[in-house]
Amino acid sequence: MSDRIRVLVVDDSALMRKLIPQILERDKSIEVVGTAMDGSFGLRKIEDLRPDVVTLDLEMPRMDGMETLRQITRKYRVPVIIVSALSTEGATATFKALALGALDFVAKPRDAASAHMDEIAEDLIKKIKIASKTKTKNAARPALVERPKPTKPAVRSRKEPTRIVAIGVSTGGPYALQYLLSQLPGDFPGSIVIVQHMPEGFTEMFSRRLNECCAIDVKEAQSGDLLIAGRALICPGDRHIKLRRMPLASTVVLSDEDRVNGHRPSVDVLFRSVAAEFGYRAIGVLMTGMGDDGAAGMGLIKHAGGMTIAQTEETCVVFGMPKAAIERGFALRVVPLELLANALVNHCSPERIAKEEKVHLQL
Amino acid sequence: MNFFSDERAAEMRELFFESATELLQTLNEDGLELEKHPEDAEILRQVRRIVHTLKGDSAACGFQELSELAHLLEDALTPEVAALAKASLADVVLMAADTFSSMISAYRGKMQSPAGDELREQIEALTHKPAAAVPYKLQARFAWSEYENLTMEAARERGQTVYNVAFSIDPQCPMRAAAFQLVRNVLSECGQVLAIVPEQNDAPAHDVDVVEALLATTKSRVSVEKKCRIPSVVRELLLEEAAKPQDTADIQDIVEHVTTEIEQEAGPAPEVTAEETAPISTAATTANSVEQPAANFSQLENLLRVDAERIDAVLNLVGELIIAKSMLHQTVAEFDKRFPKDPLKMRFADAMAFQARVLNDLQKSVMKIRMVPVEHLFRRFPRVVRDVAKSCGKDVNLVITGQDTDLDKSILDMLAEPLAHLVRNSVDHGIELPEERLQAGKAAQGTVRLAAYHQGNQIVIEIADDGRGIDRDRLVAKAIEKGIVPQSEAGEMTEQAALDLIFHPGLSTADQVTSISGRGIGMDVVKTVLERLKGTISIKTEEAKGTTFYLRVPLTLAIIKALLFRVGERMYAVPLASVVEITRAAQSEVHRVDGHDVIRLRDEVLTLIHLRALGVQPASMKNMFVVVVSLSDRKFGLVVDRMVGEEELVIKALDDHLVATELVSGASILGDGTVVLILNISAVVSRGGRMQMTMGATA
Repeated sequence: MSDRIRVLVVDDSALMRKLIPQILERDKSIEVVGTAMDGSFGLRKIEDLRPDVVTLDLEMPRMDGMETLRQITRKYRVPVIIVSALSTEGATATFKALALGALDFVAKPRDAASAHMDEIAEDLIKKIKIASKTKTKNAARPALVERPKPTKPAVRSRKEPTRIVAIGVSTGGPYALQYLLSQLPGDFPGSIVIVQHMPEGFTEMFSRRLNECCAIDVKEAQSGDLLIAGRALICPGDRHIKLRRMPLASTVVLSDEDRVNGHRPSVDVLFRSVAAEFGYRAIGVLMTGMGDDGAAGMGLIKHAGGMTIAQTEETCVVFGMPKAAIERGFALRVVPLELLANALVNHCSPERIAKEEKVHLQL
Repeated sequence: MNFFSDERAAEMRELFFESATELLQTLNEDGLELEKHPEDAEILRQVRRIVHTLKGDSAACGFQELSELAHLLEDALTPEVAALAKASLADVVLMAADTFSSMISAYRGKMQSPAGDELREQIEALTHKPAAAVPYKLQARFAWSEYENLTMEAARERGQTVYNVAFSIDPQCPMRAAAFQLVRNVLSECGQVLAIVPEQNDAPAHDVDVVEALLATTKSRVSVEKKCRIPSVVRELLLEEAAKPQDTADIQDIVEHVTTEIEQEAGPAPEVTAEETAPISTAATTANSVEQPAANFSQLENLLRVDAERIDAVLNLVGELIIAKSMLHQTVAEFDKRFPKDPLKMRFADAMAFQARVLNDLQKSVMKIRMVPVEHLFRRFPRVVRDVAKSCGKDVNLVITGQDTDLDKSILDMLAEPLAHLVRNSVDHGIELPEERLQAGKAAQGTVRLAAYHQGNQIVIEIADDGRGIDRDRLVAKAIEKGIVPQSEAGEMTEQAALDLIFHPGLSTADQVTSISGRGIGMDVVKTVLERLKGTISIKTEEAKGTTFYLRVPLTLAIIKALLFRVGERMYAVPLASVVEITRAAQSEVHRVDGHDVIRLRDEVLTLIHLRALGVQPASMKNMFVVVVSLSDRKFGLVVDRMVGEEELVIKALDDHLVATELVSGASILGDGTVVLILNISAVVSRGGRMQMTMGATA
């Protein structure tokens, strides 16, 4: 048996069924074992070929991607990567798919003749490799419970947040973030700023989707947005996000600076800025994701007296960024995904902060 | 740097062109469906899916213009737009199909792609219907960030008034950067500038000619306005008091604004949640509906695209094999004769029979590869009918039957143009205008029927309309006028002969040549093509009831079943499909009528054609064989010397310079190496008939 990663490509476009395998061909450790033109064939081929990873298009005739995904996750537990086109509708569907258990998504290949293609190819290959390793873990992760529409506070007063929670997350993030944020209460006293590695154009729908299923407010960040209690701001794709304390309130600022650690948005940029602006009032959280973006920034938060939390290996789809932080000794706490919401509520609670302030004063 | 090698990229593009052509065909079809049922959400979804795939594929190949237009169209294909736009949405979809298709052929030919501006406008007109075109108006968004809202509040608390100010810079103003700076300076003189877009350090972009600012001041509105109107720099000024946020609820307001936006934009949101909350029930129903069609399409998944040339090569080899088979056959027959008692004989016979069967199967399966359903051809006609009907103000319904009838691909390709011409003709000339139809007591909507079916070894394609029919008298009158038919013969013309005039080059019954009938090929070309295909065309028409064209073509061109016979020393063959019967006649039964030799065959009079007469030797036989063939509903008797038998012939194309006669449509080689000429019946009949006529006249 070869140890190459066996991939099944499900797409209704004949072109994509040719293009994607050709992209993957470039990596010797990946083997495309089959293609299917719609969901029902896809399911049959999964049964026959038992691939390690499936790439799935959501817009297909007959059995569409969503239904296919449902059946795949129910029957086979094969990790699925969504190949998604950028459109309003496409993004909505993509996030629905992520909630249904798709592991990750990539943008549809564009302009084969340009250098742009390299990026997409790299991204796809990387994600397939990651996915192939998560086969067994995928089954164990806690299912997202689709709750009835959460009740948000009727009027959200513009309250100064007790703590600024900066979260950095990458692969496996959409699922993990939904899990975490939907568990936070509507009167969560901290303010959250999130960097999720995600291509441009997807973050807006992602935020909207999270906003619908969370008791706290979730919004794609715009320059000048205020840091207020009970709200999470998600950095838009292809921008960096920084925090700035202004005379009247604290705000976020978006910028177009160069990539940091190969990423834009970069977690390190956010963490560095939250450490500098808020010091001990900062909480840095590193969640599932590949690489080490954010690890150095977490060191700065720790150094500035803030709280630093890393997600446990068992609950990570990819234990990369948290691992880097733990190995460098920057993570003060290591918390499983199920308890993360609880930990954040605790660390942001005014009572605890009052206690901590006292300690700070005594020092 | 290219990601793929040139070769790969070219291959990819080729695949794109092919699949895109198919997608566009489906888009055309669905567009027509959409025109009929503009509110059908399912069709709309289908259309959108096609456009979506097209968008993705073209983007992948780097065809940006196409991809962008497709994206634009995809976003416009929402139920909301459909409800607003009604039928005009279908128009845009069809127009898009045309534009895309010309773009694709431009890409294919590496030419400048045509501009999609018109389509873009159309799509945009769909999405922005309510917004009527405003000449020029200063439009300001005044979208202040949350922090800026905060500063606004603070300023109010200080007792200042906050104004939204917007300037449009005069486009004639030569120094734009300076103009922007001037505006900024004036504003800061008026009071405290809480926010300004574009910001100080942003270089004003070329397409930006509006400055928006948030100004907190204690000065009166009038004085601010006066100051801000800088002549020849500011073209227009908008000054309004900034809206007060609702006390403490401003953030909530923003959030709520965001959520309502979601609900508006993500139209089918309720459906989404419904699906999510009840995943089991929906899964169960969709699973049921999915199982069944999947079976139908199972063969589709294993599609293999093969170059037609390769199949032809295989077919050629099969042809050679068939010749080899008959060679073997004859050798074995000879062997039989020489060694009638040899025990090997039986084994030879067995092996031969087995080989013959396998060969037969092989031939059939290769033939089958070349067969494609006529649907490939028919599917383009709904659009043709729609366009023609629309352009000449008629209401026509196209009914298609038998689209799954299989036909040889090369025949199908050759039939495309003639069929399109006939269909266009039916709509343009056949069907009357709605008023005329109503007067004639018919339904206002005309019907064109397109049907295909098997008939023996042939495929028949019918194009029928329920229009006014062909005016036989006018046709004849015109033929006389143009000198095609001498006045004297006109009266004697049979119905069929009169109608056949329509195929004469240079005859058109339409009063004026419209753009539709003027386009493409004429009826004479239709006939030529069919003859080349060894097919026939015939007409049936009834005044005020309609006209039907019957196109008969052989199933395949490569191998035919034929009847072989000898005339003199030569071996000839006619396609078995056109043979009605074989009869014998004695010289005494032959009568001479109108310069034609005829015999009585049961109740009919059969015109004889002496094949020998076409050659050199004159005919003189006591007892002769007559092969009765049919040609567009008429029967003729071919007088031959000796019958040989029935055989499958592999047709070898003949070069034009080898055979300088139209009488022969092809040749074949028998197992013993004999060359058989395959007669072109229609040419033989017309030639034979004419020769006898002249012979009769001189006699």
